Amino acid sequence: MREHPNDDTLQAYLDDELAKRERVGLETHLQACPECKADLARLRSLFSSIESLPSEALTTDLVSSVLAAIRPNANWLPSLALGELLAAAALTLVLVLWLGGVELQGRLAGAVQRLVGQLELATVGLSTTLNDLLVQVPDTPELSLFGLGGLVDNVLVSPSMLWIVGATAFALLLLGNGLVLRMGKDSNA
Amino acid sequence: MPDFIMILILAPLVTLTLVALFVVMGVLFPRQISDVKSTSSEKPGRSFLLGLINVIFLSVIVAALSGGGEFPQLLGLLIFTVLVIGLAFGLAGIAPFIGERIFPDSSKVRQAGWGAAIMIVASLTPFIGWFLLFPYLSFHGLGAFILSFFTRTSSKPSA
Repeated sequence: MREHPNDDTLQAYLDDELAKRERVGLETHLQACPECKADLARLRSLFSSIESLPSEALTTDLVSSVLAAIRPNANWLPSLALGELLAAAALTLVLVLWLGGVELQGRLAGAVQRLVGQLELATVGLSTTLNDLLVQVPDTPELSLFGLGGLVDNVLVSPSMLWIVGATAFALLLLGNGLVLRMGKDSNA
Repeated sequence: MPDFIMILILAPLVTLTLVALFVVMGVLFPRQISDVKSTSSEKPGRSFLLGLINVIFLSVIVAALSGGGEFPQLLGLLIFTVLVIGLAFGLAGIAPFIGERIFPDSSKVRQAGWGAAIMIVASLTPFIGWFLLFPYLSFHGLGAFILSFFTRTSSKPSA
Protein backbone atom coordinates (compact mmCIF):
# COMPACT_ATOMS: atom_id res chain seq x y z
CA MET A 1 0.00 0.00 0.00
CA ARG A 2 1.68 3.17 -1.20
CA GLU A 3 -1.02 5.71 -0.40
CA HIS A 4 -1.92 6.66 3.15
CA PRO A 5 -5.09 4.89 4.28
CA ASN A 6 -8.08 7.06 5.18
CA ASP A 7 -10.00 6.93 8.46
CA ASP A 8 -12.64 4.55 7.05
CA THR A 9 -9.98 2.01 6.14
CA LEU A 10 -8.34 2.35 9.53
CA GLN A 11 -11.71 1.92 11.23
CA ALA A 12 -12.46 -1.15 9.12
CA TYR A 13 -9.07 -2.51 10.14
CA LEU A 14 -9.87 -1.98 13.80
CA ASP A 15 -13.24 -3.70 13.30
CA ASP A 16 -11.45 -6.60 11.55
CA GLU A 17 -13.48 -6.04 8.42
CA LEU A 18 -10.65 -5.82 5.87
CA ALA A 19 -9.84 -8.62 3.46
CA LYS A 20 -6.65 -10.51 4.21
CA ARG A 21 -4.78 -8.93 1.32
CA GLU A 22 -5.80 -5.39 2.33
CA ARG A 23 -5.00 -6.06 5.95
CA VAL A 24 -1.48 -7.34 5.15
CA GLY A 25 -0.88 -4.34 2.88
CA LEU A 26 -2.07 -1.93 5.58
CA GLU A 27 0.04 -3.56 8.28
CA THR A 28 3.08 -3.29 6.01
CA HIS A 29 2.31 0.39 5.43
CA LEU A 30 1.81 1.04 9.14
CA GLN A 31 5.24 -0.38 9.95
CA ALA A 32 6.83 2.15 7.66
CA CYS A 33 4.55 5.15 8.33
CA PRO A 34 4.59 6.63 11.85
CA GLU A 35 1.93 9.18 10.84
CA CYS A 36 -0.64 6.48 9.98
CA LYS A 37 0.42 4.52 13.04
CA ALA A 38 -0.36 7.57 15.17
CA ASP A 39 -3.74 7.94 13.42
CA LEU A 40 -4.53 4.30 14.15
CA ALA A 41 -3.56 4.73 17.81
CA ARG A 42 -5.77 7.82 18.00
CA LEU A 43 -8.75 5.95 16.54
CA ARG A 44 -8.18 2.97 18.83
CA SER A 45 -8.03 5.25 21.83
CA LEU A 46 -11.20 7.03 20.70
CA PHE A 47 -13.19 3.81 20.30
CA SER A 48 -11.97 2.35 23.56
CA SER A 49 -12.94 5.54 25.38
CA ILE A 50 -16.40 5.44 23.73
CA GLU A 51 -16.84 1.83 24.78
CA SER A 52 -15.84 2.63 28.33
CA LEU A 53 -18.59 5.25 28.69
CA PRO A 54 -21.35 4.24 31.13
CA SER A 55 -24.63 3.29 29.47
CA GLU A 56 -27.31 5.84 30.26
CA ALA A 57 -30.88 4.72 30.76
CA LEU A 58 -33.37 6.57 28.58
CA THR A 59 -35.75 8.80 30.48
CA THR A 60 -38.47 8.47 27.83
CA ASP A 61 -40.05 5.13 26.96
CA LEU A 62 -39.89 5.33 23.19
CA VAL A 63 -41.39 1.88 22.64
CA SER A 64 -44.74 2.70 24.21
CA SER A 65 -44.99 6.10 22.48
CA VAL A 66 -44.11 4.60 19.08
CA LEU A 67 -46.61 1.78 19.62
CA ALA A 68 -49.24 4.29 20.67
CA ALA A 69 -48.64 6.23 17.47
CA ILE A 70 -48.92 3.07 15.37
CA ARG A 71 -51.96 1.55 17.06
CA PRO A 72 -54.68 3.89 15.83
CA ASN A 73 -53.99 2.81 12.26
CA ALA A 74 -54.42 -0.83 13.22
CA ASN A 75 -57.51 -0.20 15.32
CA TRP A 76 -60.03 -2.95 14.65
CA LEU A 77 -62.90 -1.28 16.51
CA PRO A 78 -65.70 -0.85 14.01
CA SER A 79 -66.19 2.82 13.30
CA LEU A 80 -69.61 3.76 14.57
CA ALA A 81 -70.91 7.27 14.13
CA LEU A 82 -72.57 9.01 17.06
CA GLY A 83 -75.95 8.79 15.33
CA GLU A 84 -75.57 5.05 14.86
CA LEU A 85 -74.71 4.62 18.52
CA LEU A 86 -77.70 6.66 19.62
CA ALA A 87 -79.92 4.75 17.22
CA ALA A 88 -78.66 1.41 18.58
CA ALA A 89 -79.28 2.53 22.16
CA ALA A 90 -82.72 3.91 21.33
CA LEU A 91 -83.66 0.76 19.41
CA THR A 92 -82.66 -1.40 22.37
CA LEU A 93 -84.77 0.72 24.69
CA VAL A 94 -87.81 0.67 22.40
CA LEU A 95 -87.56 -3.08 21.93
CA VAL A 96 -87.29 -3.72 25.64
CA LEU A 97 -90.07 -1.32 26.53
CA TRP A 98 -92.29 -2.98 23.95
CA LEU A 99 -91.48 -6.47 25.24
CA GLY A 100 -91.85 -5.58 28.88
CA GLY A 101 -94.67 -3.14 28.35
CA VAL A 102 -97.47 -5.71 28.07
CA GLU A 103 -97.06 -6.87 31.65
CA LEU A 104 -96.20 -3.44 32.91
CA GLN A 105 -99.30 -1.89 31.38
CA GLY A 106 -101.65 -3.79 33.66
CA ARG A 107 -99.55 -3.08 36.72
CA LEU A 108 -99.27 0.61 35.92
CA ALA A 109 -103.02 0.86 35.40
CA GLY A 110 -103.56 -0.75 38.81
CA ALA A 111 -101.04 1.54 40.41
CA VAL A 112 -102.60 4.65 38.90
CA GLN A 113 -106.02 3.50 40.15
CA ARG A 114 -104.66 3.04 43.65
CA LEU A 115 -102.94 6.40 43.58
CA VAL A 116 -106.15 8.09 42.52
CA GLY A 117 -107.97 6.33 45.35
CA GLN A 118 -105.37 7.51 47.83
CA LEU A 119 -105.58 11.06 46.52
CA GLU A 120 -109.36 10.96 46.96
CA LEU A 121 -108.94 9.75 50.51
CA ALA A 122 -106.42 12.49 51.16
CA THR A 123 -108.78 15.09 49.72
CA VAL A 124 -111.55 13.90 51.99
CA GLY A 125 -109.15 14.01 54.90
CA LEU A 126 -108.07 17.55 54.05
CA SER A 127 -111.65 18.70 53.95
CA THR A 128 -112.00 17.87 57.62
CA THR A 129 -110.06 19.61 60.34
CA LEU A 130 -106.26 19.26 60.60
CA ASN A 131 -106.63 17.38 63.84
CA ASP A 132 -108.92 14.82 62.28
CA LEU A 133 -106.50 14.34 59.42
CA LEU A 134 -103.56 13.77 61.78
CA VAL A 135 -105.55 11.17 63.63
CA GLN A 136 -106.80 9.58 60.45
CA VAL A 137 -103.49 9.20 58.65
CA PRO A 138 -101.95 6.46 60.82
CA ASP A 139 -105.22 4.53 60.78
CA THR A 140 -105.55 4.62 57.00
CA PRO A 141 -103.61 1.70 55.53
CA GLU A 142 -103.58 3.24 52.03
CA LEU A 143 -101.78 6.33 53.30
CA SER A 144 -99.33 4.58 55.62
CA LEU A 145 -95.73 3.90 54.83
CA PHE A 146 -96.53 0.20 54.44
CA GLY A 147 -99.13 1.06 51.87
CA LEU A 148 -96.50 2.90 49.84
CA GLY A 149 -94.09 0.02 50.43
CA GLY A 150 -96.63 -2.34 48.96
CA LEU A 151 -96.93 -0.03 45.99
CA VAL A 152 -93.18 -0.13 45.54
CA ASP A 153 -93.15 -3.91 45.92
CA ASN A 154 -95.89 -4.34 43.38
CA VAL A 155 -94.86 -1.86 40.74
CA LEU A 156 -91.35 -0.48 41.09
CA VAL A 157 -89.59 -3.77 41.80
CA SER A 158 -91.64 -5.94 39.52
CA PRO A 159 -89.92 -8.30 37.06
CA SER A 160 -90.88 -5.95 34.25
CA MET A 161 -89.27 -3.06 36.03
CA LEU A 162 -86.10 -5.05 36.62
CA TRP A 163 -86.12 -5.98 32.97
CA ILE A 164 -86.46 -2.34 31.96
CA VAL A 165 -83.83 -1.14 34.41
CA GLY A 166 -81.41 -3.78 33.17
CA ALA A 167 -82.09 -2.99 29.54
CA THR A 168 -81.76 0.75 30.14
CA ALA A 169 -78.47 0.16 31.89
CA PHE A 170 -77.38 -1.98 28.95
CA ALA A 171 -78.34 0.72 26.46
CA LEU A 172 -76.52 3.37 28.49
CA LEU A 173 -73.51 1.06 28.82
CA LEU A 174 -73.47 0.60 25.06
CA LEU A 175 -73.77 4.32 24.51
CA GLY A 176 -71.17 5.25 27.13
CA ASN A 177 -68.63 2.72 25.90
CA GLY A 178 -69.21 3.74 22.32
CA LEU A 179 -68.80 7.42 23.11
CA VAL A 180 -65.61 6.99 25.14
CA LEU A 181 -64.02 4.62 22.64
CA ARG A 182 -65.06 6.83 19.76
CA MET A 183 -63.63 9.85 21.58
CA GLY A 184 -60.30 8.03 21.54
CA LYS A 185 -60.54 7.26 17.85
CA ASP A 186 -61.24 10.92 17.10
CA SER A 187 -58.33 12.15 19.18
CA ASN A 188 -56.01 9.57 17.62
CA ALA A 189 -57.04 10.42 14.08
CA MET B 1 -62.33 -14.20 68.10
CA PRO B 2 -62.80 -10.41 67.94
CA ASP B 3 -63.36 -8.92 64.51
CA PHE B 4 -60.32 -6.68 64.53
CA ILE B 5 -57.98 -9.63 65.26
CA MET B 6 -59.60 -11.50 62.41
CA ILE B 7 -58.98 -8.51 60.16
CA LEU B 8 -55.36 -8.27 61.34
CA ILE B 9 -54.83 -11.90 60.37
CA LEU B 10 -56.75 -11.79 57.12
CA ALA B 11 -55.36 -8.51 55.73
CA PRO B 12 -51.74 -9.72 55.27
CA LEU B 13 -52.96 -13.03 53.87
CA VAL B 14 -55.25 -11.35 51.37
CA THR B 15 -52.45 -8.92 50.45
CA LEU B 16 -50.04 -11.81 49.87
CA THR B 17 -52.48 -13.78 47.74
CA LEU B 18 -53.37 -10.72 45.66
CA VAL B 19 -49.69 -9.85 45.13
CA ALA B 20 -49.06 -13.42 44.01
CA LEU B 21 -52.11 -13.30 41.72
CA PHE B 22 -51.00 -10.08 40.03
CA VAL B 23 -47.42 -11.31 39.60
CA VAL B 24 -48.60 -14.62 38.14
CA MET B 25 -50.99 -12.82 35.79
CA GLY B 26 -48.11 -10.66 34.60
CA VAL B 27 -46.08 -13.78 33.90
CA LEU B 28 -48.90 -15.71 32.21
CA PHE B 29 -50.31 -12.83 30.16
CA PRO B 30 -47.34 -10.52 29.57
CA ARG B 31 -48.69 -8.87 26.42
CA GLN B 32 -52.13 -8.10 27.87
CA ILE B 33 -50.72 -6.80 31.15
CA SER B 34 -48.13 -4.72 29.31
CA ASP B 35 -50.90 -3.27 27.12
CA VAL B 36 -52.99 -2.40 30.19
CA LYS B 37 -49.95 -0.80 31.83
CA SER B 38 -49.09 1.36 28.84
CA THR B 39 -52.75 2.31 28.27
CA SER B 40 -53.19 3.29 31.91
CA SER B 41 -50.15 5.57 31.75
CA GLU B 42 -50.99 7.08 28.36
CA LYS B 43 -54.77 7.51 28.72
CA PRO B 44 -55.57 7.78 32.44
CA GLY B 45 -58.64 9.99 32.04
CA ARG B 46 -60.34 7.89 29.41
CA SER B 47 -59.44 4.69 31.25
CA PHE B 48 -61.05 5.98 34.42
CA LEU B 49 -64.18 7.18 32.62
CA LEU B 50 -64.60 3.91 30.75
CA GLY B 51 -64.06 1.90 33.94
CA LEU B 52 -66.58 4.02 35.83
CA ILE B 53 -69.22 3.61 33.13
CA ASN B 54 -68.73 -0.14 32.96
CA VAL B 55 -68.69 -0.75 36.71
CA ILE B 56 -71.82 1.33 37.29
CA PHE B 57 -73.94 0.00 34.45
CA LEU B 58 -72.73 -3.60 34.65
CA SER B 59 -73.48 -3.56 38.39
CA VAL B 60 -76.99 -2.30 37.67
CA ILE B 61 -77.46 -4.99 35.02
CA VAL B 62 -76.19 -7.70 37.37
CA ALA B 63 -78.47 -6.42 40.16
CA ALA B 64 -81.45 -6.35 37.79
CA LEU B 65 -80.73 -9.83 36.47
CA SER B 66 -80.31 -11.26 39.96
CA GLY B 67 -83.94 -10.42 40.66
CA GLY B 68 -85.14 -12.54 37.73
CA GLY B 69 -85.48 -16.26 37.16
CA GLU B 70 -82.87 -18.96 36.82
CA PHE B 71 -81.59 -17.98 33.38
CA PRO B 72 -81.28 -14.24 34.12
CA GLN B 73 -79.45 -15.07 37.34
CA LEU B 74 -77.04 -17.26 35.41
CA LEU B 75 -76.54 -14.45 32.90
CA GLY B 76 -75.94 -12.04 35.76
CA LEU B 77 -73.37 -14.37 37.24
CA LEU B 78 -71.65 -14.58 33.86
CA ILE B 79 -71.52 -10.79 33.53
CA PHE B 80 -70.27 -10.50 37.10
CA THR B 81 -67.51 -13.03 36.35
CA VAL B 82 -66.46 -11.08 33.26
CA LEU B 83 -66.41 -7.90 35.35
CA VAL B 84 -64.22 -9.54 38.00
CA ILE B 85 -61.84 -10.90 35.32
CA GLY B 86 -61.62 -7.43 33.80
CA LEU B 87 -60.90 -5.94 37.23
CA ALA B 88 -58.20 -8.56 37.88
CA PHE B 89 -56.51 -7.78 34.56
CA GLY B 90 -56.85 -4.06 35.20
CA LEU B 91 -55.35 -4.17 38.67
CA ALA B 92 -52.63 -6.56 37.47
CA GLY B 93 -51.73 -3.92 34.88
CA ILE B 94 -51.83 -1.07 37.39
CA ALA B 95 -49.48 -2.91 39.80
CA PRO B 96 -46.36 -2.86 37.52
CA PHE B 97 -47.28 0.69 36.50
CA ILE B 98 -46.98 1.74 40.17
CA GLY B 99 -43.91 -0.45 40.73
CA GLU B 100 -42.13 0.98 37.71
CA ARG B 101 -42.58 4.52 38.98
CA ILE B 102 -41.40 3.72 42.50
CA PHE B 103 -38.61 1.28 41.62
CA PRO B 104 -37.48 2.18 38.08
CA ASP B 105 -34.28 0.10 38.25
CA SER B 106 -35.78 -3.14 39.59
CA SER B 107 -36.72 -6.18 37.53
CA LYS B 108 -40.22 -6.44 36.07
CA VAL B 109 -41.31 -9.14 38.50
CA ARG B 110 -40.10 -7.08 41.45
CA GLN B 111 -41.83 -4.01 40.10
CA ALA B 112 -45.10 -5.93 39.72
CA GLY B 113 -44.80 -7.50 43.18
CA TRP B 114 -43.89 -4.34 45.05
CA GLY B 115 -46.35 -2.30 43.03
CA ALA B 116 -49.14 -4.73 43.89
CA ALA B 117 -48.17 -4.81 47.57
CA ILE B 118 -48.06 -1.03 47.86
CA MET B 119 -51.31 -0.68 45.93
CA ILE B 120 -53.15 -3.16 48.16
CA VAL B 121 -51.76 -1.83 51.43
CA ALA B 122 -52.63 1.72 50.38
CA SER B 123 -56.13 0.56 49.45
CA LEU B 124 -56.55 -0.85 52.97
CA THR B 125 -56.28 2.66 54.43
CA PRO B 126 -59.56 3.29 56.25
CA PHE B 127 -62.10 5.33 54.30
CA ILE B 128 -59.66 7.03 51.88
CA GLY B 129 -58.33 3.70 50.67
CA TRP B 130 -61.65 1.87 50.76
CA PHE B 131 -63.86 4.48 49.18
CA LEU B 132 -61.50 6.62 47.09
CA LEU B 133 -58.22 4.94 46.19
CA PHE B 134 -59.44 1.40 45.56
CA PRO B 135 -62.44 2.46 43.45
CA TYR B 136 -60.19 4.84 41.53
CA LEU B 137 -57.62 2.11 40.87
CA SER B 138 -60.35 -0.37 39.94
CA PHE B 139 -62.05 1.99 37.50
CA HIS B 140 -58.70 3.05 36.07
CA GLY B 141 -57.53 -0.54 35.65
CA LEU B 142 -60.77 -1.88 34.21
CA GLY B 143 -61.01 1.03 31.78
CA ALA B 144 -57.40 0.55 30.70
CA PHE B 145 -58.07 -3.16 30.15
CA ILE B 146 -61.12 -2.46 28.00
CA LEU B 147 -59.29 0.27 26.07
CA SER B 148 -56.28 -1.95 25.46
CA PHE B 149 -58.60 -4.77 24.41
CA PHE B 150 -60.41 -2.62 21.86
CA THR B 151 -57.33 -0.85 20.53
CA ARG B 152 -55.15 -3.91 20.12
CA THR B 153 -53.61 -4.47 16.71
CA SER B 154 -55.49 -6.72 14.31
CA SER B 155 -52.32 -8.25 12.91
CA LYS B 156 -48.62 -8.21 13.52
CA PRO B 157 -46.89 -5.26 11.88
CA SER B 158 -44.91 -6.16 8.82
CA ALA B 159 -41.16 -6.03 9.22
